[in-house]
Order: sequence, then structure tokens, then C-alpha cells
Amino acid sequence: MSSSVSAFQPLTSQAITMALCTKTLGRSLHLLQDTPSTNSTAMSLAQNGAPDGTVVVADTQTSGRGRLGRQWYSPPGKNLYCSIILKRAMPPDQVSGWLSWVPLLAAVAVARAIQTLSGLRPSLKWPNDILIAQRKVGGLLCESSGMATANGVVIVGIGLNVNMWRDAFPADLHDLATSLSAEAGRPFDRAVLLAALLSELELRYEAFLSGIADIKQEYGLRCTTIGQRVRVEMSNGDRGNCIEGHAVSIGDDGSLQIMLDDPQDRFTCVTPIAIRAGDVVHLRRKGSD
Amino acid sequence: MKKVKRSVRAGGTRPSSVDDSIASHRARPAKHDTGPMGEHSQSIQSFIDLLKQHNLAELEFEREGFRIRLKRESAAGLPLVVKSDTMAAGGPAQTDSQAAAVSEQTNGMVTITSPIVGTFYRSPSPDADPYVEEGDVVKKGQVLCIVEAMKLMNEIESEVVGRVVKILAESTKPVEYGQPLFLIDPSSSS
Repeated sequence: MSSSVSAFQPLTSQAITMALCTKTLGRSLHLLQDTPSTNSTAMSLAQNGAPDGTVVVADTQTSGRGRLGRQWYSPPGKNLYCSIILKRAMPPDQVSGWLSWVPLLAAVAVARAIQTLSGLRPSLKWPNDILIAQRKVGGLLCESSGMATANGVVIVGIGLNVNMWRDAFPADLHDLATSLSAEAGRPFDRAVLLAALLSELELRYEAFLSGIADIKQEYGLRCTTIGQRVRVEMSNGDRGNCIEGHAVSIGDDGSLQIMLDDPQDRFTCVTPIAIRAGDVVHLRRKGSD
Repeated sequence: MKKVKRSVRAGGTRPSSVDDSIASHRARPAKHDTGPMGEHSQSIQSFIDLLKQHNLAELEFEREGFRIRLKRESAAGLPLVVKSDTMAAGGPAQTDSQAAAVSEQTNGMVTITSPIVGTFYRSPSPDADPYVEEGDVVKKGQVLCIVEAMKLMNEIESEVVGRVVKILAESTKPVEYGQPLFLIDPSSSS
């Protein structure tokens, strides 16, 4: 359990390894003081032979990034920035399902780890923003490469705001972001947090691969987007290319199913459309402004 | 018989197209075959044409000891637009018109197709230069594009050395499972 003494200690490989109780994830560990992006470093390591389960963790990222190259604010000494390398020879017909669900099951794992350590109950904004009290406490960016070959690799990148007080966020993030310490009122040991989320991820990942996990159900219980009115910006903040509607469920492939406010045809009057990429904004209910 | 089309995929099952799943596996050997199928090669081609023409998923024909059953793995004719659970991952949605359009142009070319349903991006971020342009020579393993689904950015690489002859999808637009994205000419690499 985190203590206020160890919470502000620098991350060390020894502290992480001592806290680790996984079989594979994190057993090969690269701890960096700073790196442009843990995802980029992990992809490079993976393509140069790093084994399945290798974890890259950095105290700070100089070019931390989110979806479509957006900047991920990554100050040193406070937060958790890590990337996990997943390698698996996958039958071609299962690749699509694997790629679809890894980002969602990873988000569930992170939420579960936070809940176990803090007692807070994070929710998920589709597909994998981690929210506490409707503010973003963390996010995931997954990347894959070489899926047509025997050397396919998926990188699960996780950024979590851990020990930042709310006034430490840049002004434009004040109302949007939060941290574990801000919500729980105490600091957290990042090594313990990393070990916990790797355990939760390994558990779900192995269960998913063996076909026994009902990730869809667990994800659905966490996903706060379901039941909300939403706007989906289909490509890079392009308001002209967005839709509004009611998020009704999660599809079998992890897609977000939306009943459109303005159906385009007879088909979408009665059937939800499936969203697989885009920025989801939770809207207030009509007339509640 | 010269192979008219080769599909390269970043994972996923082979795309089901008439050229691949029927012509290559059934009709092609018939040309040199002296067995019972040989004399029917013309008939087989006409059945394939019939299948294409009427956009059928399956066709079975039997007469005088000769029976042929042609089946496409894809339910061609599904709408291209992403709608509902029927288009879940793994659900092929390549239309016949696409398959036909590509096979006509792909003599000797390599077609790079999408392994997943998602959104196609030609560059890593909106402000960045595209990974490749038409006319570029690409190396084996070079990233051509990204297809995003569920916030997983899936890099799609070229499996061959060659020249990008045609970019078949529009950046930031949805693409379907098996949809052709690039045409690459392996014979033109300098």
C-alpha cells in the first residue's frame, strides 16, 4: 500500500520489481529518466527483439503524445508514463478482434487497479479515457505494427495523473483533468500503482486470450458513455464531420453503438450505427442547460 | 496462368474476392487439367461471371455427373457504410464493385488491404506529412498508413519493395475490413 513516505520517492527499478507480482508483464523493465515518448521507445525496443511483456516506464516524457499526435502533458516526478509490449502470434482471423479489445481491456485494468489502491471508482469514457468525477485522470494510446507478419506487436501506452495537485495543471486542463492525489487527498506510490495495473492487465489479457473473460460485460459496467447523449467528432475536431446521438451499447467488437438524433435514412432510424474511431464528447441532456 | 492479383494484409483473413477464392483455387488448374474438370473450364468461368453479375454469395450446379459449387466467403453487397452490429470486426464488407475495380487494375500489382474496420489516416497526425504519396518507392516493412479502431493506431506496412501506383482510400474516412488501400507495383522500384 502506498505511504506518504514512499509516494514522492523517485521511481526505481528495485521498487517496481519488489512490488511486481506478475508472470510476464514488467519482468523485462526499462526505467528511463526521460524519453520523448514511452510508446515510441517501446515500439523501437519491440522491433529490435524486446520480449513479450516488456515494460517501458519514464519519469517524464519530452514529447508525450495522445491520439493523432496530440500532446500529453508529462511533467517529471509526479505521474506515471508507461508502455507495455504485447507480442503474440495470432491466427489471422483473430487479429481484428484482438486489436479491437486490447485497448478496452487495458482501460478496465487501469480502472480496476486505481480502485483497488484508492477506493475511488473510475469510469471510462469510450474508448479508454479514465475519468474520476467526470474529469480525466488518465488515458491510453495503443499502437500496433507488423500485424501481417509473425512479428506483430501491440504497444499499450498508459498515462496517469498521480501526484499532481489540481493547481499544478495548465490552465486549459483545469476543468478537464484531475489526478489520483487530488481526488483521494493523499499521494500514491507510483511503483505500487504500476505493479497493480500490470497485474490487473495480465489477469484480463490472459483470460481474454483463453476466451474465458467477458471483457464486454466488465467494460460495459465501467463505461459511463453508455446512456449518454454524445457528439462524435469523426476526424480531428472537425465539427463539420460529426454526429450527435444517444450512446446505447457496446458492440461485439468494442465499437460504440449510437442512435442518431438525425437519422440519415430508414436504416439508421431503427438501428444504431457503430463508431470505431473519433472523439466522443458527453453532452448535457437536451433542455438541461 | 499468371496470377492476376495478390493481396497483402496486415493480419486478418484473406479478403474474399472472386479472383482469389474462386478463380485461383478452382478455375485456374482446370486450364491444364486433363481430368474431368478440364473440359468444364469454360463453364466454370461462366458460372463465376454469373456469380459476379448477380452479386450472389453461393451457386451450385449439377448435371450429368458434373457438379460445381461456388461460394464467396464475403457477403458482397453489404453496404459499404458502417452500420450496426452486423459489421462487427471480422465481418467482411468488401463490395463486389470494389473487388472488380481493383482486379482490373491490378495486373501484377500488389494490393494492400485494411485488416480491420476503422478510420484511415495517411499521416501520423493531422499536421504531419503523409507517410507516402503516389509515385513513391517504398521499402518492404515501410509504414504506408494508419487504420484506427478503438483508439488503437494500427500501422500498415508494405510487404514488398515497389512503387505506390494508387492510393485507394481517402484520409480520415472510414474503411472496411478487406478494403483495398494501396496499389503497389513491385516491378517498379527504382
